[in-house]
Amino acid sequence: MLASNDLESLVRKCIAGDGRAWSELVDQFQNLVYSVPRRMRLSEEDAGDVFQTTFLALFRNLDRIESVATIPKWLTVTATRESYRLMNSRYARSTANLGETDLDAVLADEDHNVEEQLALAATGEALREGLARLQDKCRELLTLLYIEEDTSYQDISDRLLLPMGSIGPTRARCLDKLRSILAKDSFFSEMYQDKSEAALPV
Amino acid sequence: MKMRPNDRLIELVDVATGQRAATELGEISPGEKQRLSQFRAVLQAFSIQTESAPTSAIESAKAILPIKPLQIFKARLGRTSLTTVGARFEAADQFQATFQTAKHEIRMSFERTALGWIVMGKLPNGNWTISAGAVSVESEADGRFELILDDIATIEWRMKSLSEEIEMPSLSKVVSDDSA
Repeated sequence: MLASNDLESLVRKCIAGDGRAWSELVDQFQNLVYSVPRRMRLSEEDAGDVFQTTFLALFRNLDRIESVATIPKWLTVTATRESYRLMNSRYARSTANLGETDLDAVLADEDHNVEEQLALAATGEALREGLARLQDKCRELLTLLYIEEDTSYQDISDRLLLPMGSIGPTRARCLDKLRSILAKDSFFSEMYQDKSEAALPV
Repeated sequence: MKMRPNDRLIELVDVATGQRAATELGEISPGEKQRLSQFRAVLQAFSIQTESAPTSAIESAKAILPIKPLQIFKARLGRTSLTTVGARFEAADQFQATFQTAKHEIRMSFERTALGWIVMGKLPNGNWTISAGAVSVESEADGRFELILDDIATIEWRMKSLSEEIEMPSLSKVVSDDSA
């Protein structure tokens, strides 16, 4: 993630009409924006529409955003609402008049989704930042194990030149380092602790 | 037999990943309990779906504000306050120089200080990004800029606005070109 000063400079350049800065801004946030509609189970085509609409809205509102630090949140909320709008327009087309009670439910559901997406985006971002601060070998191992799908222990062993028998212990040490980094960043909220502690033997 | 700390860590991670039952941990201290819940939170965070957008979608979003082609200009040394052109500027503590392109004039002053070389310059009005080696600064709206460099002899310069880019070779190069 860009430092706040860099992001501020990028946004200033975009407002001045610098296409290179805009291109960098899109690269910076493409993953965050595209993941929202995909998590809401929209098709690739619909997610592409949400993606384009969200960046267009950002471009039109860049000069109204007071603090660049709010851009990730702004993008997440906009992408969630756009996803919802698209889902609703599909739903409205396939059903007769929406009653008042239905509308309330739809709006409450939309608010819930926005909150949920914000929390997921923030958690995902914090995790990526934590991973980026790990040493190369740990970052690569955890990425292969938990982000890249279908990587076998044999593949990991070959790619990282790590004996198969060392993968488990190394994983434990790397996860512990990541846990330490995230703990310093106040990553672990009460919510997480309550949920997971409930499953522990007393 | 007393267990090594690393073995206990592996056990905790195995429980967090579901490869071992929590009951197999036996007695668990409050610190271990917290560590285990944190491992679970980390693993839960890994399961959050993130997906990179297709290239076509990224290109469409970038096209909202297309990149204009830059007009590139090469700068050469115009005037310098050094007594004779080609004098060893490395030996001077302070000097001024003017660089020119077919369209621009760039005035610059160089001063050696304890911090390094303080370089002040003036480009035509506008927002410029001035890069000198790895150092990069933004100009004021009137084209003024200032930066500090360890070395001024071998560093090459790039000055970029929305539509133009000025390339300026290192001082040692422009001075030797000019004296040749």
